[in-house]
Formats: sequence, structure tokens, C-alpha cells
Amino acid sequence: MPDLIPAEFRDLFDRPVLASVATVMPDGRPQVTPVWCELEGSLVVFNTVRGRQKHRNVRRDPRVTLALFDPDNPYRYIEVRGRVVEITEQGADAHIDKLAKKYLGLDKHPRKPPGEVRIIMKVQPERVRTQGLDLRKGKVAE
Amino acid sequence: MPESIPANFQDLFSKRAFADLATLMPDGSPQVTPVWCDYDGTHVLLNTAKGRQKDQNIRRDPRIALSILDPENPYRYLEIRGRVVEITEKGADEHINKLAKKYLGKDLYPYRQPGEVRLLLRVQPDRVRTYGG
Repeated sequence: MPDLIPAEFRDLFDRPVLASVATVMPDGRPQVTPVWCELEGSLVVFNTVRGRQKHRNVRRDPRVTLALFDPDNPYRYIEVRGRVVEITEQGADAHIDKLAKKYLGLDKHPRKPPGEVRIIMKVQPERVRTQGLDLRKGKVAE
Repeated sequence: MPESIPANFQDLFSKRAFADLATLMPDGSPQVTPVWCDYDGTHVLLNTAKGRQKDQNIRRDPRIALSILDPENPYRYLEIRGRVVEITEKGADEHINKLAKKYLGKDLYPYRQPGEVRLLLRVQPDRVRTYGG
């Protein structure tokens, strides 16, 4: 599967930019929440807690959409439509710590309530849309 | 059952907080785009251009979701699930200019395309959750 994330937008995944992830509820309506994420090769990877709404939704319907907008310029963003191809507990605790380093500069994720089980979700992008609006020039660059 | 936005989170609407708006594509998969927003005490107000994907999606299925993060603290946010209860051209031009003032500091929305028709969307929140309050 070719890498659909354009090179000039990869910085949004390298910087501590919060992604919004949308999933589908049992009755078909959408749900959207912010998550930490990163790229692993061509896959977008995020971390959540087992049993959360997004987890339950994805188990039933793996289609998700992630959107990240540039905190320095919210008119520049990427929308990734795809599906979750892997859900795993393996390595999820180390992974959330790795993301805590990226997003908060901490060695460990600050909250670990007892009984909470972390899971990694890996998303295969299927369609990617970008918008890059340079406010100085007022032009839309697609 | 409509829910209101808690008073201690309404400040998000006076800041330049973007909302990530999720709508449903024809095949039922979600689409997400960042949008400007505000709140009139009952409905969340959004503005878009007629014919855009989100407009088409909402006309087919008015159920939407919003994630609105505090620009000063992204770990403080609103999660809303609701439906668009009104789509109207009435007042939409004034509204986009009001949003342009809030988000860009400009009196007139500067990105109008020729022939563009603005639409004001009123969202009824059915479920509101707050985080980091």
C-alpha cells in the first residue's frame, strides 16, 4: 500500500499536534475526540483505553477519520480517512509513555488509574485530504 | 434530549477555538474538518458554503459531532454529539462576518469565492461532555 501521507504534511505527525479521531456509534452517528498519535511507516497510530467508546465503536466498525491541524496555522490541515487494521495491548503502556514524552515532555504518562488497560490502534489510510492556506497570501494551496 | 453547554465551558466560544466537526459521508464513514463556531445559549452555530461536502452530508444525515479544544489548554475540551436542526441562508452572511471578526480580526470574511452562498447551521447538542474543567 503506497504511503498516502504527503511528505510536506508529515510534520503534523512529528510535532505534538493533537489529532481528532472520529468513529461511528452503533446507531450510525459520528463521535469525535482528541488523541495523541504518530506515524509508524505508512500507518497512523494512536493510543487509547480498552473499553472506551472509540474502542467499542471501532471493534464494530473499523472506519475512522483523523484530522490534524497545524497549531501555528489552523487553515493548514490534513484529514486521513481509513480503517483500524490492528488493535493490540502489546506494548501499549510503553507506547503511551512514548507519546507522553512527545506531547508533554514527560518520561511517563502522568495518569495510570488502576484497572485501566491501554491499547494501540493502527490506522491504514485510504483517502487523504490536505489544505494549506497561507494567511499571508490569502491563497489556498491544495 | 437537548443538553446545554455548561456555563464554565462557554468561554471556549469567545476564544479562537476551532471545532473539529464530524459529519457522515454517504457510505456512513466519518468526515472531519476544522470549523469556526459560536454559541447562542441554545445552539452551537456553524457556518459553511452551500454545496460543500459537509453541507451535502448534513442534508442527508443531520447527525454530527464536535470536539472543541481550548486554544490555551488543549487538555480542556468539549465533546458534543448532536444534530443540525436548521440550515438557513438567512443571517448567514452577517454570521460569517461576525466569525471573521472573532477569528481573524477582520470586519468582512475575506475568503469568499465568486457565487458562494453562505449557510448558517444551528446545532442542537444532544450529549455534552467536558474534560479538564
